[in-house]
Amino acid sequence: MKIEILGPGCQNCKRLEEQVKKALEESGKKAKIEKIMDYRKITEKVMFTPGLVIDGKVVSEGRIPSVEEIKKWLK
Amino acid sequence: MKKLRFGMLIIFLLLASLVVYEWNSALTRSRMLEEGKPLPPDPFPVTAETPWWLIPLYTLGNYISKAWVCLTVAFLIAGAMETFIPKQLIIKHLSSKSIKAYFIAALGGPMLSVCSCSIIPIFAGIYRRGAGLGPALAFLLAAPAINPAAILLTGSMIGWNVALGRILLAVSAAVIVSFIVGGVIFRKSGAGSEEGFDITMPDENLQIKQAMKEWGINTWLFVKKIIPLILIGIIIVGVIKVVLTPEIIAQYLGQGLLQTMFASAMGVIIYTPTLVEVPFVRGLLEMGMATGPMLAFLLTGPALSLPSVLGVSRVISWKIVLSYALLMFAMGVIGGMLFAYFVPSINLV
Repeated sequence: MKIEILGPGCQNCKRLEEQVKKALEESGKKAKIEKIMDYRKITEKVMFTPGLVIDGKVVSEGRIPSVEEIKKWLK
Repeated sequence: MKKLRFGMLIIFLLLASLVVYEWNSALTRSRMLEEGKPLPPDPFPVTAETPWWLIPLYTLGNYISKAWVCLTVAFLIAGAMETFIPKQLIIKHLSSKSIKAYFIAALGGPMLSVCSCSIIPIFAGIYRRGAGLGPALAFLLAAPAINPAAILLTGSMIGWNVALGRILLAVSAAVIVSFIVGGVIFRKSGAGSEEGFDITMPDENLQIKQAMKEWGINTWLFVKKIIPLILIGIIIVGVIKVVLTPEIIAQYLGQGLLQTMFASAMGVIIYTPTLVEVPFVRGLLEMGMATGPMLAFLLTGPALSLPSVLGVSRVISWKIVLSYALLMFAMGVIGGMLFAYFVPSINLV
């Protein structure tokens, strides 16, 4: 599984990364986390940061989803 | 739409209580002045005897004692906007290419983002998938300058006439510059998309408990991000107070065309995070900055900076970036001179 976190690297993106790591830990899954910080690449996929992309699919943008939500998307 | 309505109610109540508070303290002050009583002194007065290394700390103490109520309300409102106002709602209205789109972008922009780091992706979205270059620029230039938290703080710490001037001039500057750049000079590039946005409105059912929790988290994230920046801004002002004399400030930032041009240019270059411009400008006003340069800085400071300009030029051509930066500089000068004509001086409280 490949998880991409889209955002220029402010507070919200850091928090999203923490949530994703927590969700991975709790569900015992393994995934490669990639942080996309280049504006050109971010804006190809989402309009509102932070964005979360799992296996190429945008699952959330413009907000920080809860750990429970992320776990659902990981399935 | 229940969630939106609930959020609007919260924001309205917060605003109303702030207005009552500000009104009340302004009334108390004017009554004290009428009765000839001295105004309460700063809790940490800075005098000639204050050791230099204590000046930044004292400045900080004075600011916080004056602004903490307004700051708290501003943060709560910013958090509520992030939580309750669906961004899709405003974006949906940004797919038309009429002149109306410019105003929606400039006025609705602040509802979309309080965080300066998320502005560029939204800009790119409006540019490519929505109304095109002009309205996207209007959003980019107006959003950071007129977001409600910054306006509240400006009113409370500097003056409500300055807050009003800031709104009017920032919106005019953003609309004029974006129209010249996007609607006239670079009309052919980035016409946006014909289909407009493909937008699905999120689930709007209100779950009070979860919404409140989200609101709390968003407010806290905002506090955590902005407070350290405000502290840095205040410390810089404290250092300026130690290093520069009021004479120097009056010479470079006093009333006049050259001074306004200098302030406008500084605003274009320096990175000023949201809300930080207010204590920064207040400190300079205390040192003798005049109203013209002040407004010029408030217009260009939050809207532009070297880092943001570099970020934007990853998305659009540098020629467009250069044109709007130069035009914004000119608007800063014009706006500053206009404001200085109507409000030649202000009394800080």
